[in-house]
Amino acid sequence: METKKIATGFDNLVEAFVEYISATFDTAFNLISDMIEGVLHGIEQVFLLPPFYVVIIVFGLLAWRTAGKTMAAFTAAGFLLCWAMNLWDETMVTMALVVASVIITLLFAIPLGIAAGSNQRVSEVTRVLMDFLQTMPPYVYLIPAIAILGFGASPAITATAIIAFAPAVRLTSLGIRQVPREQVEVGKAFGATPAQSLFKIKLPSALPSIMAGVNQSLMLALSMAVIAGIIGAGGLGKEVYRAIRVLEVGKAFDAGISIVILAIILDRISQGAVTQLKKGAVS
Amino acid sequence: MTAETKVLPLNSTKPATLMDQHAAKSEQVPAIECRHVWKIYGKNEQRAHQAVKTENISKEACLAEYGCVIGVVDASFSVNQGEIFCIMGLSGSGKSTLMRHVNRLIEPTDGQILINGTDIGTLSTPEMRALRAKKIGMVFQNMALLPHRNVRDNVAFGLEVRKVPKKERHAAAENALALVHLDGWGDRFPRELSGGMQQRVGLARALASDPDILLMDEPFSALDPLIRRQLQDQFLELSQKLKKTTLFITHDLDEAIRIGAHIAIMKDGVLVQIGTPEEIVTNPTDEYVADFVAGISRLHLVSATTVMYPAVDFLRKFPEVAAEQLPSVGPDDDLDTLVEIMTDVEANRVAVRADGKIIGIVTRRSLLRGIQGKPTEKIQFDAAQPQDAQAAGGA
Repeated sequence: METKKIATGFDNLVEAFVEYISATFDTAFNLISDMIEGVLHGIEQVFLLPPFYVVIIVFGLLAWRTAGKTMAAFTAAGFLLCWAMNLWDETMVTMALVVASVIITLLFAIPLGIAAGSNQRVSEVTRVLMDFLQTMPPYVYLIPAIAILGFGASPAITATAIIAFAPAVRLTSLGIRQVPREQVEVGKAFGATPAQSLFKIKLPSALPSIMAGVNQSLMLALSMAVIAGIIGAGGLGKEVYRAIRVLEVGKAFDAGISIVILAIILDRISQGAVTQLKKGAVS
Repeated sequence: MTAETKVLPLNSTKPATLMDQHAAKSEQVPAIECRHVWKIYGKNEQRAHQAVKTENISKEACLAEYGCVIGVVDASFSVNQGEIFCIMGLSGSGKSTLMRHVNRLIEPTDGQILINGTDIGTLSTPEMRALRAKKIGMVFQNMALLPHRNVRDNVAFGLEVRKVPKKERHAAAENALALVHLDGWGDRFPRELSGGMQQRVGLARALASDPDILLMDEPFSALDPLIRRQLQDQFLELSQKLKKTTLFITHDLDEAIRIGAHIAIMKDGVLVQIGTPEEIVTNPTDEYVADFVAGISRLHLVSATTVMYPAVDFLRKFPEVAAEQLPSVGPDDDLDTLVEIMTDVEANRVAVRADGKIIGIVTRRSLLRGIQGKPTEKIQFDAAQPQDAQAAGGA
């Protein structure tokens, strides 16, 4: 009985907290929501304004540069398939959602990762926070996001950004920690300031690890961007839910295939970038 | 009379140590001077330092009682302008720690470090940074080149940090690369270079900002013996040209002797002996140093004066020797020259002349003993001989 009371008490507390925040900082959150949507629309325009074949060619070339000829061919064929299934716009919207979330998450994750990589105490606190973020079931973030930011793209992006946050922080921190000690010493011995040491030695050295974090963030963001279709984010996620609701099995499957194609393309291109960077860094 | 009394205060009231004597040899301000530098690692470093200083507790006791590790114990030495000073010791002896005090990568627990007469402990952080960037170049054991930069930008790193314009610093980098015979390699990346070449880039990087002082932390230890020898020669040649004051760390006594004008031997954080290579080899201060120098070839180190019999004694014992007709060498000629002469002209004896005057005689016996590292014996006179000599003297 007692424990139940405590549990209910806690639930009420969380609800009250979310309500309090959304009520008190309403203006601020509206502003944030508008900003997030602004970023999303900007990126959407980049992918949607040019004719589809231009986008295909650009991504094909990008894949060629980072992951080789085979991947370039797959990218072109995969995107063509999405277009042929009449899901081009949805695919691009989802990609914009993923890219916007990852950009927003990196804006916070990389500085925090650098701080955690440079300071033991920050690192310990961050680790607990990241464990919490990563083990929480993703759906849980959706509801407070709606409560605070309303229905639509911006809560979807926020929830996606939160999900994508942890790996970027962890791998940035790891990368900074793994900078060889003697390289840091070189910076000091030649009179570099702490900022010069960070930008000229530590970050370039940590870049492969940071990019590995970006790759993982992209993958997590994609999975969340699809789930976020429930709360009004557009794109392939929305299409999947629509098709399921009206039992259009074929359509749902098409959207699923597009998601897989998008996942493979984003993964291989970003992983290819990591490999290229690592090749450059081996001494 | 007044002149004499004026001279007196110059005699230091402090007991003269080896280092003081060494320092006294140079009239100029030493380029680098360490005065009673201590480094103790741990939270209680100050208390541990007091205990070690006053009660002379052992390393083990220091660790057990205070949780502190002793790095450097009361190190004093000075390096003259333009000379190469080697610190030799085995790994863990504290030599790298001591060197890092000179550019204050490590703060001493106690003691002072002076660069060209300035106590660097009094410098602010920006002043210290400027000193490191302009006056002190450092070369690292494992090269420590930055893998994401090409050779030119690695060499220009120190200048880039000082915000020297790109054109200027690239020109300086090319010059430095030419010094180490790597011109034309600027666009390559460190990974494309062999170990020896990478270390030459490391040296060029230290030279690029034309510093007064070079700190070299076991620069050639990671290289294979043949390359090491080549780089030593190249470095010596370069050093004669540039005349940079150099603090050179090595665990190899052969290398220290080849390179250093003075050598300090370090053991468990203590500088056990400081001297010229010849002093260290012919007159080791304790068994530890003696063990080290036992295997060292004396041929190029020991001078004729060390192995000669004093001319007066020798000619008294062997008055029949026509000293004036013997082949002769100068007092600073090494044993190798003596061997050369004795084997070439089949002479059994060689005279040592200083300013034309014969000061000593080297025989085969004294030369061979000298090569072995044994001291030259005193000439024993038979009971009858002194009278002969007296007679000869009287005649």
